[in-house]
Amino acid sequence: MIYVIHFDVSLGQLISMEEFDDADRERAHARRAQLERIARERGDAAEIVTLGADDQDALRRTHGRYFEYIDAGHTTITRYGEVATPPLAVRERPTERAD
Amino acid sequence: VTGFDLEEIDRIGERLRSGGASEADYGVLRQWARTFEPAVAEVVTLLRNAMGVRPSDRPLKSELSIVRKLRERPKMRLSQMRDIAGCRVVVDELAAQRDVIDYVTRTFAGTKVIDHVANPPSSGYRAVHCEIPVSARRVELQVRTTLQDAWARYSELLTYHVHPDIRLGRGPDRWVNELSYYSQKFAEADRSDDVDAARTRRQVAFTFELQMEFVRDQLRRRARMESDQ
Repeated sequence: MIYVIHFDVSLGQLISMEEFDDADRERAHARRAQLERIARERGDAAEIVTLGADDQDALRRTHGRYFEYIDAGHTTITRYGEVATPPLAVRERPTERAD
Repeated sequence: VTGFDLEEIDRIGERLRSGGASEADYGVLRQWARTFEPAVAEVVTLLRNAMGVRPSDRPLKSELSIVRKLRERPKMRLSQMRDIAGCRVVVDELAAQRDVIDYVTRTFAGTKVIDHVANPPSSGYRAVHCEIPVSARRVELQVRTTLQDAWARYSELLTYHVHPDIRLGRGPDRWVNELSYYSQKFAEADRSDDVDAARTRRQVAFTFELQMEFVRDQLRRRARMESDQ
């Protein structure tokens, strides 16, 4: 599987992880490029990476640092075939929430 | 050899360092980095099939990490950055770590081994890295034991939530000293060859996860307090 990880460095927190089938490599790369462009435009300190692993367990075994500090209210984990709602591109940064 | 003008890649690196990179620069960077994908896939597939390990691959370092590294090392050229493409394996113990390294050095002639276990930096980071030449590319492989990886995760957690220089071994004494303590303690546990060594390592890892959860809880409480103020 391929995973597109969006990690907010300033918050030290996983913002989203989207899972893609191996056959959807191009889509995964396009998504990464889109997230990077958005982060640049907003000036976010965002680490956006594409990672390949057998499954989520294997990914968490090798790249556990992305999952160290998860806030269920702010993190979106989308499995292959699911659609993240609302689209991450228009989500507010957690620190900007009204509450 | 790469199909890319490496001088142009280096010029893009300079613009990334100075903050003057354009969208077109980022596009070229992505295209260039994708030429590493087959090399990474070759390493990962061989490791999976021959060693029975479960590696993860990262064909392209994040833009943020590339820029940070270029700024930390003003003389570094982007085309020479050694960990543009990489993969990582976490294994249970030192013997398995050595097996992976032995396999890689036997399989890929010219592999350079950087042994941070035998020679850990002052930060306390421990792992073995390999720079593997594959298909005219260079792929970085990081091999960690479970305890080495736990320490690295803790170091990253503190870097994000306590002080940005902790990963470099600098910052508040309390945390730097704690990381140093755990680095040594884990090195001893990894080296132990007692009859019950494997069980002891699992207990150490479990206890440390609880410790990390305690620290995470403290960090969340602090974040909430700051948010309320």
